[in-house]
Amino acid sequence: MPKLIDFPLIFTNIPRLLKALPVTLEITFFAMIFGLILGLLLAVIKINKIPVLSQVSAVFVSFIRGTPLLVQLYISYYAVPILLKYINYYNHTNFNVNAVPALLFVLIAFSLNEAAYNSENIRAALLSVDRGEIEAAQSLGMTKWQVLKRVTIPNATVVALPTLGNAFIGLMKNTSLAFVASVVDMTAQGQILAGSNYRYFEVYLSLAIIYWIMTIITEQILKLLEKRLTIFQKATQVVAPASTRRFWFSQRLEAPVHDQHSTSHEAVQSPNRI
Amino acid sequence: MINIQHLTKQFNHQTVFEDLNLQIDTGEVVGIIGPSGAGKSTLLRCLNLLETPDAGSIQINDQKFVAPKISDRDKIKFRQETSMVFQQFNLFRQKTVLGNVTEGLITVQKRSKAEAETIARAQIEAVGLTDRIDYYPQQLSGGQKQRVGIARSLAMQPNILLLDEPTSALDTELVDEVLTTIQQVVETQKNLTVIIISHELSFIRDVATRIVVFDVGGIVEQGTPTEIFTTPKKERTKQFLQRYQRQALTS
Repeated sequence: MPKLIDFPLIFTNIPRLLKALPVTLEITFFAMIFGLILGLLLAVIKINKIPVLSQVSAVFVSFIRGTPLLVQLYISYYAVPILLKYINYYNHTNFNVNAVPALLFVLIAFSLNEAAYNSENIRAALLSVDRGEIEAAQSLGMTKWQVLKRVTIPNATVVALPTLGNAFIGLMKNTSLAFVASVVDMTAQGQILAGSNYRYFEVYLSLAIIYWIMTIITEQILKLLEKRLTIFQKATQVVAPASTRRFWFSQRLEAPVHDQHSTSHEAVQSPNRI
Repeated sequence: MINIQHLTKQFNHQTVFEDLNLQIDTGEVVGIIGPSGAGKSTLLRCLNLLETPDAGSIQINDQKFVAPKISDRDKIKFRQETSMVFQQFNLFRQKTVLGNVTEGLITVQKRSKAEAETIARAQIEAVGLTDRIDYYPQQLSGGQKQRVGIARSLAMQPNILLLDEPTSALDTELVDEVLTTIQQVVETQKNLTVIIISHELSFIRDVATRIVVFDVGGIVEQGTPTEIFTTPKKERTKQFLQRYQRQALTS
């Protein structure tokens, strides 16, 4: 009887599976970046209650959140070819539907899914930004875009980072669904591998280990990023002791007339520090 | 020069002030006093267009705004004439003291980082915070935060400085350091027009060249500090000053 579990095989599988890692990473990063951009756009539309667009985005977000990712992948897989056929028919063009890489369907589905979820996270983060800071930036004469870039987004990023980080980890694992659109990512590679040696258990354990390690690495990177972004919060409060404040104050105002204890007379001689 | 004519502002159909007229010359230090909720801060925010008036006009030097419509570009030009110091400091919490002061210089005035830092360091020194230049706002006391706010505003080299109750969020013992800083600004920058809202009436009396008394609906009366504090004409002003004196004695 063959061994129930071939432990060495679990580890020898890993390099073979890692050959498909670039595809997994490509889907993850592209979908996250596009999802962030579109998510920000949707959030801004919703916050500013832009007529028509606001309603369209609400329906879009509701649809994406209300349907399984797998179904969205299938819709993308079948909808894009139909769309191309439609374009060909009405515009007399000759796009080859079969030449469209399968990866495109996956990227579209994942990106839209990510955008819908991210838009809610981003919206909540944008709304949490201190109104006072925004007003300070406006009063300095910043344009709307400058306020967004210099104040709103940096502040919102700190708030949104943990949830966006979780979304990124979730997305990375969800890429395993890409095989339904004939994209050979790590999971699909595993299936191919298991199909050739029938060691399904070992292959899926190898895959689980890879995803687990990738998640741990991502968590560590996110921790570092969070630490860096929140450095201003970690700074310990150091307020000048009262005695120092009095000394400073005595230098500037009280010393000339009232303060008998002040040893500094600089303030009398050079009051115009401003 | 500021020329406010027939200015009206409402919130949810409730009038804050109506048909308000006020002219302020360059270099004047105008103290606005009055009970809370009278619309003093709203007037200041209208001057910076953080609030958009419903009717009337505001002219600041060559810039004129006729309510209620203004393009974003004109709004920004208008804001560059003024600079505001806020009650709650409103510092950029992710930036150090230096970062707070250079932000406007780099982003709005498009100065080089080196030039912005030179200007900022001078302003920070002027408010006595050189030793806190790399601190974040949360590491500062309330008084220090407000002095950073003043440095940030002055670094922009505005024609008009708007101070919206700069000491009201501070503990009593921290009020003096901010008032000293403001007093020095007023004494040294003669061409700077300053409008200050404060409940520190003794300070206002010392520092202002003109006092405007505000109450719900608009201006009650205005005059020199001596006129307002010793011989107020309007009954409402007398009531306000008496109540303030009673509160001051009680406290």
